[in-house]
Amino acid sequence: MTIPPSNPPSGSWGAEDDTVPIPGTQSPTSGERPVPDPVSGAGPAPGTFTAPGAEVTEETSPPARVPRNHAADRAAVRAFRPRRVVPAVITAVLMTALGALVAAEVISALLGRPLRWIPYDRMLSWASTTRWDDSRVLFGAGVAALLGLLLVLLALIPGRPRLIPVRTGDPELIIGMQPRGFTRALTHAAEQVPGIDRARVKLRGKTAEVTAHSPLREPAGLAEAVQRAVTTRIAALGPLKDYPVRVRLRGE
Amino acid sequence: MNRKTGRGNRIGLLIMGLLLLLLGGYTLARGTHALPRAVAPGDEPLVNDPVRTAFATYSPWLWWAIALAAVVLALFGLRWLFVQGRRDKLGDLRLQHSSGGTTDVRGSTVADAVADEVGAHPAVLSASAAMVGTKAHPAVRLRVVADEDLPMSALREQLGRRAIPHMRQALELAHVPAITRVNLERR
Repeated sequence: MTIPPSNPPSGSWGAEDDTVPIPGTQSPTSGERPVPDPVSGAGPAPGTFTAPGAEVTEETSPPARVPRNHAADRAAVRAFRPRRVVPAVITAVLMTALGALVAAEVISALLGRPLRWIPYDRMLSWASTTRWDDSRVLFGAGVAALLGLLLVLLALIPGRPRLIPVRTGDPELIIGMQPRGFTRALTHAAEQVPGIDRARVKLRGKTAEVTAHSPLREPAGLAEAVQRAVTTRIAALGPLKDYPVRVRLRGE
Repeated sequence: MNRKTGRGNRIGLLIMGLLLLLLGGYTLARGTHALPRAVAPGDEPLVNDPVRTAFATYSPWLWWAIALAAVVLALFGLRWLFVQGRRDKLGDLRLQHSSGGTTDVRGSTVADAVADEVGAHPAVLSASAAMVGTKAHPAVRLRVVADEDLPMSALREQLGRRAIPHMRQALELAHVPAITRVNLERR
């Protein structure tokens, strides 16, 4: 059962294209297929296959049909992954400082004019009398091991992309939206709904939470209308991950 | 700042992290008497007779080795720092003609052309571009500010069907990846 499509909300830029794949796009291999149903705007989660028409959602406007390309999705997510600059800078500065200090001290001592910035006589006597199973040694080792673990985790864990990747279907065309701009667009969509005075959208976790204010005393169907408008706008923008919409209606 | 920096940072963090883990882990294992007594006893001082003997026997070579290791560490650290500010803007791109002649195209010229074409769309408020990558494998990095009512398919089309194919034609290359950052603003 399908819901008949209605007019797209913002028509200033013409009807949304939905049939021809973009030139330069890799032709879908046997493992991929286009978005199954032009009417079910939100679409199934990437990687799952549903029969056309099996989805019954509140989407009404046909979004652009983008051939689902896993290579493109992966490329987009990878392009916007955090680059770990701050931990890298901290580690690099410490490395440089430690290396320079030790090198200066050792080389100057070897050349006969020791700098004596590091109190190595004191350090040597401490190290000669402190055992491996001393609690201070163990504590220091524990701290070092934890720091090491933190660095390893920072290196291995991909992290959430800093821009919201957009589905393009072409691994060579990568588009990412700034999250603030994304929520601004959704807020605008919510405020276009007649009866809504102002709205605010926050992306919390994987959902889009809309808080809308309306002066109407009996807002019948208003929440649904806001949800429809925002969901349609999300579909029009086409992020990789789907953001289910939750609406909270407040009076003035 | 580009993807190579990110990957390099992660590799560097992984190496240093593993080193710290190794050092800390070894010390913890030895200090808690987890290692066999004959090899690495835990109730010895940190600097004990075998260590002193080694230093006495092999000095000064041992000290020079330590100094070298420290210098290498510092140099790696410095290089790592400098890489953070790396801007891989492409200066010139070379087009090879079959007749044997070559043409050099300024990267900024190509980038400006792409940006202009993207900016021609009414929903795009501003667009700027830079060519990045290498001469053999260039890519284009775009920064687009668009109206908040923009349907993404319009931008996709403008980029994928017009701006980028034109750029590919101009560069005579089949594959030029594009990374686009879109900011949606109130008009």
